[in-house]
Amino acid sequence: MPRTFTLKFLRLVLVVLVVTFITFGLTKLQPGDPVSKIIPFGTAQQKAELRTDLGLDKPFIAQYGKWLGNFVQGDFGKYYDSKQSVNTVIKTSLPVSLELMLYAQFFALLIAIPLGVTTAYRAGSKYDRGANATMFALLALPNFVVALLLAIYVGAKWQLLPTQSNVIPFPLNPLDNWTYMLMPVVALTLGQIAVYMRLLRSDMIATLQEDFITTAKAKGIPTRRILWRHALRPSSLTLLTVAGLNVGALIGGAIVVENVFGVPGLGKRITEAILAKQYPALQSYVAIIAILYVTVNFAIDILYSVLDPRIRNARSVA
Amino acid sequence: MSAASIKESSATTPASEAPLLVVNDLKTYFKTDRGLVRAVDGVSFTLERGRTLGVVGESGSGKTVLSRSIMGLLPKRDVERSGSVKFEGVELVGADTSLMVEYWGDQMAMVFQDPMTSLNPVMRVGKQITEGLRQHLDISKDHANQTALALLSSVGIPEPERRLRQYPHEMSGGMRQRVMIAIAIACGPKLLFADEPTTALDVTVQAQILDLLQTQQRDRYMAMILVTHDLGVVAGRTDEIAVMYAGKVVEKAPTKVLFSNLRHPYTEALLSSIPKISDPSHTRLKTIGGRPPNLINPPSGCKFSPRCAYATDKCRTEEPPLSAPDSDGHQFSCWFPVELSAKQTAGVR
Ligand SMILES: Nc1ncnc2c1ncn2[C@@H]1O[C@H](COP(=O)(O)OP(=O)(O)OP(=O)(O)O)[C@@H](O)[C@H]1O
Ligand code: SF4
Ligand SMILES: [Mg+2]
Repeated sequence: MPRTFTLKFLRLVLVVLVVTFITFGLTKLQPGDPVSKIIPFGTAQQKAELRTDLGLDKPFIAQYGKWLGNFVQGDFGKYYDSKQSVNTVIKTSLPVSLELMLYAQFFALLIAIPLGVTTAYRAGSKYDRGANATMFALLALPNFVVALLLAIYVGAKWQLLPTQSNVIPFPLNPLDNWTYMLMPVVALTLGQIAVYMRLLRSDMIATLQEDFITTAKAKGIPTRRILWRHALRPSSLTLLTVAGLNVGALIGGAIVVENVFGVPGLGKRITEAILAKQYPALQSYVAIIAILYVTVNFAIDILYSVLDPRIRNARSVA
Repeated sequence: MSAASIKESSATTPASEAPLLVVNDLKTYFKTDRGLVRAVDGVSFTLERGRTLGVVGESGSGKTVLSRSIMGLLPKRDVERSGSVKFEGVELVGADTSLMVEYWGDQMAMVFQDPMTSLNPVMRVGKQITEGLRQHLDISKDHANQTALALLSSVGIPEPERRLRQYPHEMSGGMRQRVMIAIAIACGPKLLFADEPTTALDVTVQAQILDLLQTQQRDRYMAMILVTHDLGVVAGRTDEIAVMYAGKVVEKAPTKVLFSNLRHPYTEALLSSIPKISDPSHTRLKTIGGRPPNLINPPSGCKFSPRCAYATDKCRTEEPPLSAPDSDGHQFSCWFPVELSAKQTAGVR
């Protein structure tokens, strides 16, 4: 186990390096330069001085190296103009995004799992067909459309919930927090429910055909228990894998949803950093997201062997 | 053994007078895209506690469907099941799942063909045994664990404590089938089905498993239905044998009577397809010529007529009924039953 762990960790490091390096390259390819953003009306000389100040005149590799050196020491850089520390921004915005994504993932699974289990058991019934049609419609609905519809109707027209959550300090008192979080979470959750439910349903249908399900039935185990205790676990490996990989989609969705609702999360900060060409800040955000993504999937890898003892065995042999 | 004794002491109602199992004209049809599959087509028999019935027939003759239909373990949809299955006088055809759950595992249980796929791969063996115990008997977790331990030893599993904590994939096929037997007998059922319990196993362990089933059946005074395609398997282990062809019982007799006086040409063909020890090695396995019947559009008349060496025009037009039992309890359905002389030329041991 320790050896596989080291290997996994090395892989994590490699992924983060590659991802940040590519982002760095991409930002450099962007037209325009940060200096003209910071002092649009400065003279050529002022601009040149600023450029030297910020280290922007150094070669590409040197710039990347400097950022990386700081990053691994826990210094995530500063905003060019305000000199605000990226660390403080991350401290306030990352929890907001994490909260949003955790809620979305949690509710998506909370709704998708019972739906997947029951539709699989009653496959072909009216209930199953109805649920499937609904999920299909949800899949076709991009999260930004859901977000905009919610913002326009629930927020602006009917004034049921606040549309601009700029003001959420985190953590707010739970009720206020919820009124701000509800719409962004719903917008982010809907599409995921459909993905998870359909996946679980098809795996459950396959599992319910297995001989060991008949064995359980022949033992006199009630249907509910057969579904939840016998069939769900062996059916959930694909769901788990996709839930992990889906963190990527979730992050993308969070960026969109945070911008629509003005949620002060990392997604919003990233958009701002891109527009303002705040390279070091952007770099650090991307790196943190990459680390998040890889770590989640690392954790899921471990969960596999909890769910399926056969994997556990195969590993200990290897 | 403790499970069985709990069962006995908790049974306060006196044993009813009705026979344990009475199956009458049981039919089980499957609706498929190609048509109605008549998998079981009017099977009747009676089985008492402590007795063993062998059900023999080629692949596809309806043995598995028959046992599952009696037990009520059929797919939910596209199945037509009619006739009668009375267990201690209670009608089970048409019974609700909520009633069947009381019978499954508790009154009747089944050992399946393939132990590699019949155990839940992600649940510890111990749990799979205690789960049924705790479902049917009102006992504590500790008590259930103790019972599971006793059960594992009684089915001949060494180091039962360790085995209880293992997962199925950590065991051999023979071990797993022993576990399946332990699960089946856990609650002390009165009726045990064994559906080709050794087909998936190594030849070396097949006899052991069959012997184990036989001892358990005797010790616990269960009725047993032993399903197999191999007449050799049921020869010394059953009281009665029913030979199935195309969803019907074509011959039925006490085991000794059947082997000494078989009457149906299909039984004869089945028997001559068993390899004999006396055969020189590398003798080609004899199989019954022709294909098993189409269950959707069965041949008219006797269903065995396309493959029968004795078939006449009458056979091809009129279906022979199952005869009433003679003084030996021997029944068969054939217009031109095999005579003693013909049988001897067929080389019966
Ligand atoms: N769910 C089902 N739907 C349609 N046809 C089925 C179904 N289950 C079984 N059958 C058909 O019923 C017939 C009898 O099958 P069954 O499994 O009882 O045979 P068997 O005697 O047990 O054979 P084997 O020795 O191969 O186990 C076969 O033709 C099979 O294709
Ligand atoms: S009835 Fe005719 S075809 Fe059928 S088994 Fe007897 S002899 Fe053969
Ligand atoms: Mg079968």
